[in-house]
Amino acid sequence: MAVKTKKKKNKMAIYTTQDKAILYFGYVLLALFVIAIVVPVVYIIFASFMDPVTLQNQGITFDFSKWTLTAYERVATDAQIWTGFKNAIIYSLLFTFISVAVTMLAAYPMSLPDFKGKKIFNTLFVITMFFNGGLIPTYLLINNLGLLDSMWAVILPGAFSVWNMIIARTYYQGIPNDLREAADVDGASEMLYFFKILLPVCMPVVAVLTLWQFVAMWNSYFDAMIYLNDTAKQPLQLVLRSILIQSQPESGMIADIQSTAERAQLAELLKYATIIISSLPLIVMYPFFQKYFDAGIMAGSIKG
Amino acid sequence: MKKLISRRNFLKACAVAGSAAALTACGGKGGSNNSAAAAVEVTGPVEFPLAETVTFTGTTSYPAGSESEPNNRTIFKRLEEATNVHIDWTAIQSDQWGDKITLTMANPNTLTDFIFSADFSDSNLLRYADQGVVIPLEEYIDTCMPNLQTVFEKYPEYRTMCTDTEGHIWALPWIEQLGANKTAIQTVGGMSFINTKWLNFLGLSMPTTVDEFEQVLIAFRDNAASLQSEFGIDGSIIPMSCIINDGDQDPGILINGFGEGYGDMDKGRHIAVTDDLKVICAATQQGYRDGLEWLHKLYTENLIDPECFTQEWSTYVSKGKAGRYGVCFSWDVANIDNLTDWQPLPPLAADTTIITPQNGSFTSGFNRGRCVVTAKASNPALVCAWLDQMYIPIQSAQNNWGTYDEGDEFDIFEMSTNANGEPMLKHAPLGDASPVEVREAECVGGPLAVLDEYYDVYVTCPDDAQYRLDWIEQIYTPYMTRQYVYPNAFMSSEDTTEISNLEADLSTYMNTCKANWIMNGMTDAEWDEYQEKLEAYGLSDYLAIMQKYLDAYYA
Repeated sequence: MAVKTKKKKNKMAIYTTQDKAILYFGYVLLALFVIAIVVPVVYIIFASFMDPVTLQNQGITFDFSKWTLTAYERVATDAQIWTGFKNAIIYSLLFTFISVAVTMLAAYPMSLPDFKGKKIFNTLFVITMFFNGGLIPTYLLINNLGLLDSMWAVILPGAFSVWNMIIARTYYQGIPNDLREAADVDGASEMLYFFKILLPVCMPVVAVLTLWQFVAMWNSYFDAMIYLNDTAKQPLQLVLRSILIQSQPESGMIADIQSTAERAQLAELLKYATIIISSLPLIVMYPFFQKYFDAGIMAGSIKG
Repeated sequence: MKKLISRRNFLKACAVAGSAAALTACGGKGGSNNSAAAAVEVTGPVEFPLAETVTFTGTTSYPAGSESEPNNRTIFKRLEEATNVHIDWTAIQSDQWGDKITLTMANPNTLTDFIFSADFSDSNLLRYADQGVVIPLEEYIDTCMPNLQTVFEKYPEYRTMCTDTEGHIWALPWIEQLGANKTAIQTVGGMSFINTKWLNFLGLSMPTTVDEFEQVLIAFRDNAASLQSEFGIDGSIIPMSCIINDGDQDPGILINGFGEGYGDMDKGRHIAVTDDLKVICAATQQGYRDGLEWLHKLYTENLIDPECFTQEWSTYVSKGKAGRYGVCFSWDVANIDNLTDWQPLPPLAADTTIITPQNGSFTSGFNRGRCVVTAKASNPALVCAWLDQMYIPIQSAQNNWGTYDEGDEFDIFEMSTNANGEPMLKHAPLGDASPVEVREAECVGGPLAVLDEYYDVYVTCPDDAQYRLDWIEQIYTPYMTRQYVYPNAFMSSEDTTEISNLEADLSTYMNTCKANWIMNGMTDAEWDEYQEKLEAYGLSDYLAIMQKYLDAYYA
């Protein structure tokens, strides 16, 4: 016991007053940051249980008699939302798998010094980072490839991200060359080296890319909106957008003003519940990737 | 490291792959060959059903959550039987329509023979016309569209409104008359409503002048506590609420009586037409200034909702549903609270008692760019003849609202007879079904014409329109003493662009100043500076273009 307290005292004792001041100031800032993030999330969770009229007029109230599960009931019984959920999971999983595979495979030769043609590929990749053809030419291209109204139109075009490739490449370059030479000396082929030796070592960057790509695909709606016609193929974000956008008033037909009012009320009611439902999978996923995140997030930086 | 494949083989593989990729890009889908359609000669009105089935392609929209395959809708099924024309539909969800229609129009592979629910704005319509994507229809209207011709003969102004400056008609219109001229339902958009429950409780009578109105609001404010306890209202009492500059929720109708009485009923363009057919800017009149100063006075007395400048529709409605409003503004008070406790306010007398009808309202509901026929159509005359079927009175009523005898639970209509024993669609009781959902499930929109004379002959007038028409006729029409409103003119593409450029600056500035003055009041210097700045933004040019089209319309 005595030894422990001694150690504790020593730890703080090496800090000067100035150091301590900066340390506590840092804590205060971080605490404010945490509050700034946590409070809106907690608000949304509480608001999802309240009816919009009560919310508007009284704000969040802990009078539980005013709490209602109507929003969640509506969401749970809406078949379209569950189709969207299923589609979003399928698209995100497929997209993540394809994207990470393609990115990791492409980044490997780009990281080798003895890859012929590296410069050409590099130029091509970098050009695409600066500009692309625009919406209409891309649409025509997807149409000509026959991918219109198919889920591959949403998954394939964006699968290879140059940015992610550069991150993976930098990570590969950070692995000491000795590993590769040692594998070569032992008679391993490139494929064996890549899949059995290198990839396990690069798990952090794989985890990071998996997370990023999953989140990107989960949140995206634009490509799905443009390329998909069939309502059964729509992902969750697109369904939610439909619900929320329908409440915008449109000029024109008269009785539509009545319907706009009805829909606006519905959109208000569902707003918070849908936010919770659409973010829940991601929130659940994050802790599992936590341990890789620390190592992997610095993957793009230069290693000493 | 052992090489995976030899260099030579690799280059060979690349060459093969490269050429294959290049070749696939060349193959495109051939255009649909519609020989059956092209074979039908159209020289005059077409007799339906056709002898041989003809197929067209069309694009339409549908509300999210309703039937996504148009051919499953009863109306289209019946049409197909009656005309022997099959349509291959491309259906786009209505909330995605704006984004996707541009792509559809740009892509020859996805372009269809006609766009059923295009709803193109004037500038888009003229742009597609310039590009040649949509074709002019005036010849077809004259030769093979007898039903639309009948509509135009009854109301020649609709034909004028559809025709551009060069005499072409580029799109088939949507027309829905509810009332006519000064009784049209669009004459008053944002009505003012007063809480008669509170009036009765406090023993006040309906205000008829601006000063009485102010007194009523003060009474609401001062008796807030007793109102809250009497009616069990949670939350503070708001004597008057509105959303400044937001269309029908703006309180503009209150200040109509100030000065010369032009008011400021055109919330987007701020123009009015004098009795000698001159276009003036309503937002530079003395009456407008007096009105805003009066509103500022109300604001300083805490009679107006402080959130009125920033709140959105959902907030506005939530507070209304909690019963906190004394006076509110909207198209229909049923959206804000209910119909039993509220009455429309009569026009308030200030310097005069007058209501200025909204611009474009005398011709009632009109949507110019509703339906277009594209360059893709191999037999545009036949397409037009088929679209003409939509203008048959009983068909128009169904396309607009819904149909009868669907076989499921609720229908918008039931088939009955009118006074002469002819078939007439009668609005059916909907029980507890949501009218919006039934309507969305059954109606198809598109080009149609529902004229005033159809009511009680081919179709009954919808209930929610009828009471509003009655309000307008009884309360507001007697005070519409001016003759003219600005018509729905079809400008050339240069003028349309010029107008929208000028309007962007002018309108934003006018709206900002209005909100500022209601909140903070104004000085003479500010008013003069406002006038000068509007001139600098091009107000005179704007009015000149408007005047040009007004003169052409009434020429």
